[in-house]
Amino acid sequence: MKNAEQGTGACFALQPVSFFWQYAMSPSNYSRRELLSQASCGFGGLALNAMLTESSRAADGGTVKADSESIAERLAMLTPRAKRVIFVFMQGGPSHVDSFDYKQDLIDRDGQSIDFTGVRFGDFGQSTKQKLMKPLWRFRRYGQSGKMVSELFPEIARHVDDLCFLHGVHTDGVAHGPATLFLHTGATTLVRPSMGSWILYGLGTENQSLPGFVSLQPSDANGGPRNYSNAFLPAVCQGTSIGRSFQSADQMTIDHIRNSGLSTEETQRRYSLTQRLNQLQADRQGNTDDEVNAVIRNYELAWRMQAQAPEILDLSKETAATASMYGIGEKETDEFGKQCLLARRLSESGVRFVQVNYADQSPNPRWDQHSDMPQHAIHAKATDKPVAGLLADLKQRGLLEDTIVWWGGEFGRTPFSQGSDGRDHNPRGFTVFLAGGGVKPGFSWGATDEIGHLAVEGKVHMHDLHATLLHLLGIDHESLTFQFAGRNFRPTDIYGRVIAEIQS
Amino acid sequence: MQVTEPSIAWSREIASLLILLVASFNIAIADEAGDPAPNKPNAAQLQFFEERIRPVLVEHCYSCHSAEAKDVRGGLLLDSRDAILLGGDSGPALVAGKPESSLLLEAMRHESLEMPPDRKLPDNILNDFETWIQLGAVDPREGGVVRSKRSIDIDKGREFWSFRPLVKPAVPEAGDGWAISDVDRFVAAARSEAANTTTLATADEATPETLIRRLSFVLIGLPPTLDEQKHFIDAWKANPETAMSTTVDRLLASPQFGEHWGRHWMDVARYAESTGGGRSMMLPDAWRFRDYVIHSFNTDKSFQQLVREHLAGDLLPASNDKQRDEQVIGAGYLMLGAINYEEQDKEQLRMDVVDEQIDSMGRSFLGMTLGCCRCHDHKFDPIPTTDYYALGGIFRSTKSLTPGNVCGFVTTPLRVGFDRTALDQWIAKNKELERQISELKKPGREKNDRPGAPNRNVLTGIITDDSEAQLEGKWVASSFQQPFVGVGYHHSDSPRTGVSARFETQLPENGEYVVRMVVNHGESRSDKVPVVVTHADGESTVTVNQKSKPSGDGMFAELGRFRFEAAQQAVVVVKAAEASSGFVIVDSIQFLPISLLSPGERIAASSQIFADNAGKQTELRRLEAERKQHAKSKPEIPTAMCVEDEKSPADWHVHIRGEIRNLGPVVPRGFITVATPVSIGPTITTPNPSTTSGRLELAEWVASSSNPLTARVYVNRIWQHLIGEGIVRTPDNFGETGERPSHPELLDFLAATFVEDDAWSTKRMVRRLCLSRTFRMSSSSTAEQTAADPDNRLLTHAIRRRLDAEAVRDSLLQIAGSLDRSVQSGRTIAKVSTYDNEYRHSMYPTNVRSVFVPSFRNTMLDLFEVFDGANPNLVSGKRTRSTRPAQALYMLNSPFVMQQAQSAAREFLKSPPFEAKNPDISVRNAWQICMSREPTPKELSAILTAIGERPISEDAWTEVFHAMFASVDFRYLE
Repeated sequence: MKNAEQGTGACFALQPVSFFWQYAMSPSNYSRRELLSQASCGFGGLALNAMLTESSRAADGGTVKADSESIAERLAMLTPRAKRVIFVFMQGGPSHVDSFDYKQDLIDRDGQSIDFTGVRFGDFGQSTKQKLMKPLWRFRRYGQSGKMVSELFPEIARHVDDLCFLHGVHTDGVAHGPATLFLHTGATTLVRPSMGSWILYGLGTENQSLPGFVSLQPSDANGGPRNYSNAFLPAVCQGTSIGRSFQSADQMTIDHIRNSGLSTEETQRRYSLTQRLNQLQADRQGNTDDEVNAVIRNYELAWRMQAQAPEILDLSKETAATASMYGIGEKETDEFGKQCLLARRLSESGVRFVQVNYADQSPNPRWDQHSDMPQHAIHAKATDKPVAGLLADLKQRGLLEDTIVWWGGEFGRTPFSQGSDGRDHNPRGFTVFLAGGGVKPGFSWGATDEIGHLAVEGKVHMHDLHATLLHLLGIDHESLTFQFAGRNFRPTDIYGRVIAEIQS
Repeated sequence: MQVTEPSIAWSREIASLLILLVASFNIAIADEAGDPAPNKPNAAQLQFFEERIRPVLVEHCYSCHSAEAKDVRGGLLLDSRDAILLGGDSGPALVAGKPESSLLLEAMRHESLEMPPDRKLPDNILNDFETWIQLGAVDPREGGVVRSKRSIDIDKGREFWSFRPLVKPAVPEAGDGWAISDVDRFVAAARSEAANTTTLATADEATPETLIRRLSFVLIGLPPTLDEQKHFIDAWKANPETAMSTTVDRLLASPQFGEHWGRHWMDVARYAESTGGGRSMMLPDAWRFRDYVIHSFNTDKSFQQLVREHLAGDLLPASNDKQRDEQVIGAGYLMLGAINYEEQDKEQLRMDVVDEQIDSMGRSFLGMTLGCCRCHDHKFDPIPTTDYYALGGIFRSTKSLTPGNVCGFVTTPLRVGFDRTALDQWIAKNKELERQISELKKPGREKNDRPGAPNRNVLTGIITDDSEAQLEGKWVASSFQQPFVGVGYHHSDSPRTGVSARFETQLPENGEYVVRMVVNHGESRSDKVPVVVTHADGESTVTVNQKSKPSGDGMFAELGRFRFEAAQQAVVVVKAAEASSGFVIVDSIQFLPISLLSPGERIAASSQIFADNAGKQTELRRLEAERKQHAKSKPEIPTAMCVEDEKSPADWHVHIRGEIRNLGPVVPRGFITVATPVSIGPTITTPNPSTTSGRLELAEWVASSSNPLTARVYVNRIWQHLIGEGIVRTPDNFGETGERPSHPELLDFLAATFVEDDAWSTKRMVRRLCLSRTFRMSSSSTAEQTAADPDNRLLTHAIRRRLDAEAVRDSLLQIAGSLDRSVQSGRTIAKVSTYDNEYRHSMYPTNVRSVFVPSFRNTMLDLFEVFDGANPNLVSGKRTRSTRPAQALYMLNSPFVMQQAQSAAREFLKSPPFEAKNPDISVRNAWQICMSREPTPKELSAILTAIGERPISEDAWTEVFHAMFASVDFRYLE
């Protein structure tokens, strides 16, 4: 513990890695060299190898030694309730009062004026009158739980008994950029790792041939790659984009996974010659350099990925029945259905964190109806069946038990109108739903006020949501730390509470 | 009656509170009246605390605010009377007797802080707390843990190695027979000190072929050509020292030195050409800073001057425009941070910018992680939060932002390359064009009138416009189609039920008038529009065809000639509801008094006016086109991103817990106390801090030779780039949490030499280090060396290192013969747009040196991303070194590598080192070009086997080059 006190310690930086190690392998004390010598067994090992190599070098540029004794001491194991996450990101901010947060008062008080204190540039801190606008869609009860859901999401509504609604979510950032970054990284301005990167850092990954953190068709706007970036965490924790939001779902692939200019035979020849030279160069060094050996194994891994990843990315392997569950083949739902189906295939193959993005390239994303709220129907239509299909498919395959599905936007929308028929951003109270590993099914937690504006009951700040997700994965958000720029960083800064009430 | 706080005046409020209390609590506090001891609470008050207050504190607060809490939040304990009165980071939690000044209650009401965080407690509990505080906050909980505020001992802090004054140590007497420079003697001394426990051999000298590769890559970031290799090896055989010094001098003089070393500095300066954050705006002028850095390294600007320019270039005196511009561009350093300009809380944004500037400055120049002190005293280093806000005052007095929903940043016009006379002429012409245009538009123009549309005031007769008409039903305002009068016209919308337009006007005198209506005709219009004119003799209905062009002037359709009386309203009603299908339009109605005109003139006059007007419109269009064209030829005023001083510089507050609206005491502007000699003092006193930001003084403080950090941090960076690891291996962190120097005396020797002998010259220091024995060692290590000193801190051998992403790319391009050397300055962004996320590097392929490739925070060139290019969001004194499958995939499959392999093969096959008849020689040469060394016999045979029967085939050689590029040694430096 001496190192820890001094703050130069490996125990901070390496503890979560050992956490992964113990989780993935049998718990025992390994020295770094022993770890490396066993690292040939696959990507898990290699990722770990790279993590160790990096965290021992890159954390603040310092050379840090693994101290296995102090690692063992600091282990704080929680029992994981889930192994992986699928985050369905509804970019732009879907309206909670028009979808899942039913408010009779809002209907009754349609057209009434309320006082509102501005939170945006131009009206910051100023009091204005705003006119309430009732939901544009009718609500009705669904399922055993009798959950009220609007006509926007009739398909998702059929799964309410599997869902856990958080109605008191609130967040930081009023504009898309800051709020989107906050959703992903827990910071509006400061450069911080994405939650997927933290999870990868904490748990490593299960599959040898796939990246551990994947974002499907992400937007380049509103923070773009920073939303899936490792920031200062080891580079292996970087999220991998599959496709981009300006491409069609049919183009979803991993960069450079195939050589498009060469025949298989030619590719094979070049690979073999490269590896032959690599081996000779390693021999010339007397095979003493860990890094050189790591490069050679990475070529092996890349070669295997090249063979296996395209198969996993190939949606044509699915039956027609499965494809239709996701709405694939129907005009409105084809694109997003493909994303959701690929998310399931990746999760099933052991990818730790998969993000599905309903996104575009615009600084004003799809769900951003400052005017013309009826357009919400288009976006609901495009996503409702695919998400419902994903839930059903995960459930029928038994994957829902240890997979967390997280659905939500960067914020919600105001219960009062903007212009004649729009709604503005509302970060102070909105709805997110979770399903699967470790959360109470058919349950609702927290509430906004009577008109759906401010979270008042069972408030869940975005930091709390992060802490809770980590907890479900078996990670104590306060112990998952990484040393950088002279101090220890953790995913929830100095905040975050685990919401125990929603756990099953 | 007595309350514990005797100063409280009795008031109706308190009386009523007490009545409430008494009533609700069912205890007659009044019975206790007369108890004289103010600090001895009465039983009722105690009971109130026990029943109403303590349980709430225990249930809702103790989990985060008691000695038992796992993690005490906000430094606040609520589990004893003393603790609650002392309060936490934000000050005392309550003031007895003053609910309105008690933070605890404010937080419980969710007025500022929100506690408990998940919900507001019910009103009755809040009322209880108000009552309790109002009545003196009686609290029997004695003792308890009161957290003592840790105070920083600055004097003790000064003893830490990096804060000690810089004194040049004596050169040790060690390394005889090995050392060829003072540097080596320090390295040898450290080794022999360690030899007390272990005896470690020192590596042999590296081969000349290794050394020329090493020199070339570390100094200019490119591989040595075959000729350069041969030349060096020959020179080395004649005299190693001369070979080294002439080569070092040649490379230092090469413009590529600045490109390579400038890039090192750009990593530290977190250089990028976009802002990052949510809306990542392009910085179209950032390239000036890049060129400035490259130029500074090529001209060997003293680092002291570079510091001054980076922090206060806009405030420095300049003897000419060129110098002034250079300094202004240098101060762009402060603007390069990753900032979320979209942040809506602009006070927060302002402080975010300040924080970014302080943090980057701290890590770049001082090796200090000052960001830690934003919220609290530094936990590890002797830097109090007051020091942080002493700097905060300086940067808050510095203007970086311009207002807006998405803010902008401050720019400054440059003087060089800017023709004042040309601009003056341009402005003069522009003014003249504008004058002519406004002249044409003048007669009676109203502010909303469309250019080119005749204004009602230029038309004769009496005009009543659609803007004054009573419009019934659905009409849509439009200005889609000319001609029209004034701001536009209205067209009908569907359904047309009940749609009509009524024009009413009072004519000046009795008489006959020609009534006309504007018909801007079109195919989409109705061809039968009934129009009813009410005149002195009754009503007349006229049907107007709006599809066809009116005869005469083409604008007005005549409705007829009618008699009107002045006493009577002249009314025209357009009955759109009854019109045939198509749009009905209404614009102006004109009443032309025929008494004023001879019969022939009647129509002509108005036509003439319209024709004049049409002429004017033509002229106007011509002038506006000319003005538009002229606008394009505006001489560009070159601008640089650069901060400026605020108009009213002032000291600023401490932000408690880093929260922007939680203001603590004001601190005078100044510097980091522990890094300032006691004799100087850390506070800025001159010149008058109310007129200047203090940035100039800060720049001088950082650049001062008495600053213990600056020179140490910078020479360590130079050492790191040349030797492979720093003497301090955390180059941006010289604090407690950073690493300790492996050779502290050597670091001090180099820093002091840099300041005293080298006049802060980078090139001199580089030369000194390159010409040491230490630099010349081989990277081969023995098992004993690795076992005893696994991280090679004693430098028993050279450090094997990896090429950075830029060097990988530039090497590929150079060997392929495709490196574009024509671009060595200027803007390289192929298409400037507002945000960087539209920019796809693949759409604008470029073979310029990597330092000139556009550097965007949200879209990085894929090769840089894969090979650990610097993260431009952070100060990166040291690149990360990752080994990832993405790198292997990139090397095997990326079109870029494939292309370079093919070009390299093509280039190679046509040049002399290729010998068609002798594959053996050809392979040796190709290998030498890529690896700067001879192939081993096995390597040679592996390649020859791959070529097989295809010794002159481009495909075969493409394969060979591809494999060589992808192989490990291509990316490593021995």
